[in-house]
Amino acid sequence: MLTRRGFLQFIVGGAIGTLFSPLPWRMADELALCTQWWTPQGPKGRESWDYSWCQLGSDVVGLKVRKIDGRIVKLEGSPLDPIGRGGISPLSASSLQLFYGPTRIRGAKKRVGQKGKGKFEDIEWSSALKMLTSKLKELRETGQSHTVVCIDGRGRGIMSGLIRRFCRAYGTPNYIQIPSDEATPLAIRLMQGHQGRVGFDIERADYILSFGSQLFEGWGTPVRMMAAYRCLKEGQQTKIVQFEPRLSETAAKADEWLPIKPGTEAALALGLAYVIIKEGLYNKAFIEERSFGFDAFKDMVLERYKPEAVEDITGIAKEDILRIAHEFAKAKRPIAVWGRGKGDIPSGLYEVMAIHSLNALMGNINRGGGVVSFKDISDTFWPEVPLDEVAKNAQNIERIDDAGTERYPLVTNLAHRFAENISSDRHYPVNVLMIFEANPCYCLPHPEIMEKALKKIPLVVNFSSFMDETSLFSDLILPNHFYLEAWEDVTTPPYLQYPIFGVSRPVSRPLYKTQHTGDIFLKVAQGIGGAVASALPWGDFKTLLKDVAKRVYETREGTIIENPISRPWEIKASPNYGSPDEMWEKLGKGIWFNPNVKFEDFKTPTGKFEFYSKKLEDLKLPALPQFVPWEEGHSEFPLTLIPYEKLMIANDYIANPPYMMKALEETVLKHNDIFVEIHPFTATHLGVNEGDLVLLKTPFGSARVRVHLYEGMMPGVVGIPLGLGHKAYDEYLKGKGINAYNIVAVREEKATGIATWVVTPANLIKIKRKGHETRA
Amino acid sequence: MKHEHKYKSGPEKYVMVIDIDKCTGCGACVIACAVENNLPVRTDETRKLLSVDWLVIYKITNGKPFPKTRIAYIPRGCMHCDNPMCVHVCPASATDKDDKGVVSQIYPRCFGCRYCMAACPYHARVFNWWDPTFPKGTERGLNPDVSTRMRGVVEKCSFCNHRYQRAKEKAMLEGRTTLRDGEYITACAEACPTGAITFGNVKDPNSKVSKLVKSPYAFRLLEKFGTEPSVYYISRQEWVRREADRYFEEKAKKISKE
Amino acid sequence: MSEEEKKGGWGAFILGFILAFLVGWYFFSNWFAVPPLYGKLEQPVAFDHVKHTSEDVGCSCEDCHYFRDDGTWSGVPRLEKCIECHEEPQGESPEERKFIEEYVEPGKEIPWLIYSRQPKNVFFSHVAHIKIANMRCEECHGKLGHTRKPPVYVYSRVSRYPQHTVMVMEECIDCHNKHKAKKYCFTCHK
Repeated sequence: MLTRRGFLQFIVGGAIGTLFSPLPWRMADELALCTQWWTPQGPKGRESWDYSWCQLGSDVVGLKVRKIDGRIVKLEGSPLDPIGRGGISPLSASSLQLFYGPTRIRGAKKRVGQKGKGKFEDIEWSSALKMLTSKLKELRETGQSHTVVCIDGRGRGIMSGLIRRFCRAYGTPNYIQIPSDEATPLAIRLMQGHQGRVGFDIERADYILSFGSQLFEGWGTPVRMMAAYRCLKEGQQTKIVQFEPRLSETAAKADEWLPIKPGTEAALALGLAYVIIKEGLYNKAFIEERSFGFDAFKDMVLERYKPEAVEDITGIAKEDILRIAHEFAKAKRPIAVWGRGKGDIPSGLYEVMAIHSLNALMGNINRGGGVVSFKDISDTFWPEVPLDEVAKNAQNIERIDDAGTERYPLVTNLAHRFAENISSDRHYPVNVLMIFEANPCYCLPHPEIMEKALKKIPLVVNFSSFMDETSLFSDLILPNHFYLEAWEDVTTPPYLQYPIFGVSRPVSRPLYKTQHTGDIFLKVAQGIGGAVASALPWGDFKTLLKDVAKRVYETREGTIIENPISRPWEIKASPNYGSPDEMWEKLGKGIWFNPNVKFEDFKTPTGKFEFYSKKLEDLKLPALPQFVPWEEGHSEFPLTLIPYEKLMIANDYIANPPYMMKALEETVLKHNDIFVEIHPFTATHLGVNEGDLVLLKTPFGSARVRVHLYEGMMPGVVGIPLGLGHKAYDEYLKGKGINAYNIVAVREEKATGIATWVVTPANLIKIKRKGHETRA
Repeated sequence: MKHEHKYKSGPEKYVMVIDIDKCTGCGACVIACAVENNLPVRTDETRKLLSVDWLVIYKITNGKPFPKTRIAYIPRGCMHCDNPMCVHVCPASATDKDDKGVVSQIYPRCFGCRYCMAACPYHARVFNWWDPTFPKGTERGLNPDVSTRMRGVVEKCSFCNHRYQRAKEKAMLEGRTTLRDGEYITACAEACPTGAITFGNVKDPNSKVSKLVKSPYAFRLLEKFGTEPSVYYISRQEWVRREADRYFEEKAKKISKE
Repeated sequence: MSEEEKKGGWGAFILGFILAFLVGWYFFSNWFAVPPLYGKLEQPVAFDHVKHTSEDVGCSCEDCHYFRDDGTWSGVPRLEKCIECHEEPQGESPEERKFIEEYVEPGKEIPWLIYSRQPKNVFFSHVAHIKIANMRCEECHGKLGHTRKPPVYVYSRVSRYPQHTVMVMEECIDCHNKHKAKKYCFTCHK
């Protein structure tokens, strides 16, 4: 019979027996092993490497792609990339998160329910394409082809050329680029008569004046500029002078930072020109033989831009102006660069002309270490478009955004007017809008106007790969491949001093049911038939790229990089490709580039560099560079708001991947609150402290922000980063900070219609927190 | 406390040299590090004390008023000290210093007491307050060479030790037991677009780092503590060399306030 | 309390001891490998090592198990390797026909059960053990390469690791001690 004692004996015996069995040791090991599947682990496999090119945002980076059993796990800079030479930018390094991430669109989608609510249902690709094709065909047949608009956010290369060609052949003048730097090509066209590329030979310059360009934070191509920085620091010790209201990362790396009042760069450039002209330090040979209108320019500058006057306008001391002008003029290859921020905060035409005049004064145009102009393959490749009756008629129809009309004859795009004109029914109604790699509902000033416009358009087709703000307002989403899955062209990025051409091949099978937008345009063109089909005869984008490669082959110029080169701009290139096939083969890994490209001569009406533009004179517009203030004073808004860009924040079609959000400093974002930067003086004046909540007010709206006191910010100026405050995407990005585009002031340059948002009158009002005592 | 013998390395001793004058603070190294080492990411990463970062970029200023203010960027990973405070205090032997100069951290062994974090004057170690999270779908991009870490353990920069292992495997197949200069470099050094970060074996007289560490402008952070870091910094600017250490004093004050 | 009860003897204790001892050994030792802790699985394909390395087929070990150029170990070959010969049936065996129908034709990878799968936080270098330490494969993998039929795969239902070959750190250290190999944390951990 079981007694209490017996029971206890049994238990103790059992316990000791257990100790002599494998049970406890086995289970201890088991528990340790269990911890191994607490967290996700990457599966092992065979490693392989591929080559690709990342062209997100302003990036153009050659990549080495590390794969494990075909699964991409890492993107690294390729040493075969002559531009970056093995470096990588934060965005391209973290783009893998975009590739795998939850914001990718997994197949063709059709809107159900109200626009903007983001409700979609899946739709077959074939029926989606049929829908688009039949709509386009119908509009064309009923003489409404001009009511089709294409927005192109890439704005360069073969893909953009294809869309532009489609528009032309289809019969619509409404091909719009956003964002678009209008001033640079226009200024070069007016002063040099050149339509094509303009490059800055930064690597060989020995003195650089940067008028607010965030050279090492995304201006031009980030990796190229970083590599250039290394080259400048290791080599000739080039001096970099940065004029900017804020001590940006570029200003921090410059040899000298001179804070300038926002938006007054043109006055400074002309002030420097004053000193150079007055003291006769300019390149006399160039001015006498190769320039036109110097005397008019000289008279104007000497009259209006005395250093004292410029000091008043720009806030830069007269002594500094004199000193910098002397240094600039004494340098062998001095260069003045423009393009505010990454180049996304537009400059006006006259401002660019003013800055470029400095390069002309030194004669530093179309030579090593200067500003060079040449033609890229994407400019010269396209054969003439065969136009039928519809397309011919369309050429006489005015654009919906007023660009190129009698009022604004010079510009090719006025994206800000597009939304306004549609929402106020100014011209004709738009029936179809196709959007490629652009997010106009986020990255144009006052996105709410764009939202209104999109609501009015019956068919908005978006080719975005991501569920971004614009996707939410689309009727049909036909997601493009991610760059790792697609055939892509690599053409010369902005401001590079030599042309390149490359082909980025797919390195992964498409993760989802996506299609190449280039293929879609080609297919739709075939579907429409007639002249449109014959203008776009390529079966798919890859075939088109092969054709482009063949054209590059026919130039018999340049070389394809096969081994890493440390100073590619210096080499003597000789063709290392024997046949088009060999070239195509080699383009799989390396890239074609031509450092010995022929520069484009001045093709102005006078055949010279025009300080005084004949074309502007013909149009009865001011023909000389000038400074026109962007803003008038406001008593209600005593401060000036400037948007600034950061390399760690992607602020165009591509939004920040989670790793970049993670790497943001704590002085940019705290939980969901964005920081604006102000100088401690300004803070004292306003009675606010570090981290205080304030209401940021501008004439266009207000937002709740926190202040960060920053010694490197000009007193009286408020800096706000661009690229935050998304309303779409996932919880890693959505609702974090505010979108500065919501509250900036858009100012139009009178002569050209170019809009900028470089300065906005603003005020900061301290928010008194309720229940502050109880919380403290 | 047991007496520590002076550290002696084997034929390889890896060091990192960072040229502050070349660093533009772009953060490519930070991202490359995160991707390479499977760092977790949470939806809100703005409280940096809770973030899991192996490499961060410190910003120092010369303390002068506008417009004389200057800024410099100091990328800071683990210093892999020759006299590592963290190793001395670890009660679990979850970290050690090996003969090639790397201070290790083994996650399954760590039980999260965080003594090492308190001991490290550089704040190089971070604690996993949560199990690692990755945005949905991005687990497909995890690097198989680095194990992900669970909640409750400390982690830090490993000088990309798995890259050493990879390089070593290749060398061993070719019958070599030593690596050539450049065969093993960290992800951050590889990513740096301005070439500010150099990495290599300081005992190899032909390596780039062995020349750089002899630069008169080279210094290490908080040398006064005798930690003997393996990460060297170079700056030709006097104020950078002077202010670099001050950063940590201010940071410590700030942390104790939180 | 009665006298009888006080004396009681050791009966219950011994009973408890023996019972627990037997239960512990039977259910928790991987010798018997019985449920509920242990599970047994057959490999998806009954691969015959002896047949493949026999003279009439003539494969060598290195045809399938080799070092890749980057020094990593190839491990178990992928389907593409099998297809090199087995695109069409090579013999009469029903096992082979099944293999072709199930894997080769649909192009599906064979979900081999890896006997020597180790936890993810360790790094094991085959090349270090083979080329530098000059160990033979059999020292760890036993006679696996000389089997006519793959042995039964025994695994734990708790940790899901295979049982006969999963290692704990002690075993690694013992061997490293014996051979005076390095034993820093990062020699093995990742």
